[in-house]
Amino acid sequence: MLSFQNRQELVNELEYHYFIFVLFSFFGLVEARQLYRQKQRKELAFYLFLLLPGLVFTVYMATQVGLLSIAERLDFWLGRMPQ
Amino acid sequence: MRRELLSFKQIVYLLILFITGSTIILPVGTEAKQDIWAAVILAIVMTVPMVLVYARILSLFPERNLLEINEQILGKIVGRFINFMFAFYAFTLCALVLDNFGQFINVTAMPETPLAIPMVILCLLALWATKEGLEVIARSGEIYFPIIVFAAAFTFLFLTPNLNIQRLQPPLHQNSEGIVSAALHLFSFPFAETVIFMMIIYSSKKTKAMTKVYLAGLVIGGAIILLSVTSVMAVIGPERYQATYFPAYLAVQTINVGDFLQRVEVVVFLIAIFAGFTKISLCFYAACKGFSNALGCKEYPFLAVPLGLLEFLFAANLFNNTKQMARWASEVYLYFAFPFQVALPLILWIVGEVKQRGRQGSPEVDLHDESQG
Repeated sequence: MLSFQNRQELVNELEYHYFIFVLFSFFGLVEARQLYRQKQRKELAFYLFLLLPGLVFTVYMATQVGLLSIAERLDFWLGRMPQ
Repeated sequence: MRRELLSFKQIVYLLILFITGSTIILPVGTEAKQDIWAAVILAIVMTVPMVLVYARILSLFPERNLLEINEQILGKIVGRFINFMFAFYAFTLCALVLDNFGQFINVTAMPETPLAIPMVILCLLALWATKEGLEVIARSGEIYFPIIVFAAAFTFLFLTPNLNIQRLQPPLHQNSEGIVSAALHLFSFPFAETVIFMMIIYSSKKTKAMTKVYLAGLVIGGAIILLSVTSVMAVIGPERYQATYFPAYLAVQTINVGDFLQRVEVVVFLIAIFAGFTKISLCFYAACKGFSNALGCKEYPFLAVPLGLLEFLFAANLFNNTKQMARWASEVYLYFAFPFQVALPLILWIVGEVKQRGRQGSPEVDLHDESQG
């Protein structure tokens, strides 16, 4: 796993992930409140079940550089790493 | 759930935009080299039977979409599982197209901007469009279509002096394997991807109407792809076509009319973004509908925000670079898409025909009403 090369790289990564995190948290809060008020409990449960892991992964992505892509992971699992 | 009904013209426009979507910017059918025109024609011919199957499935069960048909003919549990699979396919396709356009914008227009920024903007637009509903996407398609046709005609006109027919020769010269392989790839991307439309459109009672819609979209979209890839190949040649990630953009860069009309690649950019937005929105809409059905929910718009975030994260982590994207598109996608584009629709068609015959044998049983009860 690569690490951040310099402070600026870390700031850049954090900036746009922070933007995405704040944006979707805001959307999430507004819609979750709406679903709660409309007593759509099943929808609210699915909503939070899908949204919260996404937000956690956004934070995780913000602190990592050089994460393996899904294609690379699948290549690795299937034993077909590129030459 | 409110049924969003579209007119014949709207569905055909959406089909054309969906087919041209990312195909117009990516190097498709590279194996065929100078015979790419033959590969496109063969791919269209190969897609016709599948499109007839899609239309037949929809017309067997009038006023229903694929998600409802699956539940009706396969039962609730199996039907919802199949719907989940189709939703996953739509979700993956949306991520792939999102990644294509993210890379395209990043490489051609904003190399210093992080790849995630254009992707998140496109994702937010798709999310918004999905929340507004299919009718809004269709109306935006109606606005984009004439602009795209005008822009494409303008580009083709100014590209004509650069066309070199020598680059398309020798035609059909000991390259049958390459043509078939390219046709198969073109079949899976983009022609048979129109299976997604089965999830979003409600059929009419007439088989001919559904067939007409599908065939009109396929033939016009196919003709645009044929014209586009053949002219790009005639401008830049097979070697550069194969070596470039975005050949149409490269071809349009060669336009130079009297030293005053240059840099018109922004036109290709415009066409690609409009068509790409439509494709991303339709795939995302299908994914939301599919997942909401699989989860047993009546409405789909509440899923747009969480799925939008997951879509962005999936697309952002799918590939690390353009080379990886191109390798997966050429080596893996065909096999990944086969079950959704061919195997499952064929099974559904056979099961649907058998159920329909059984229904005709016992007139007192009405499957349409039975499922609503």
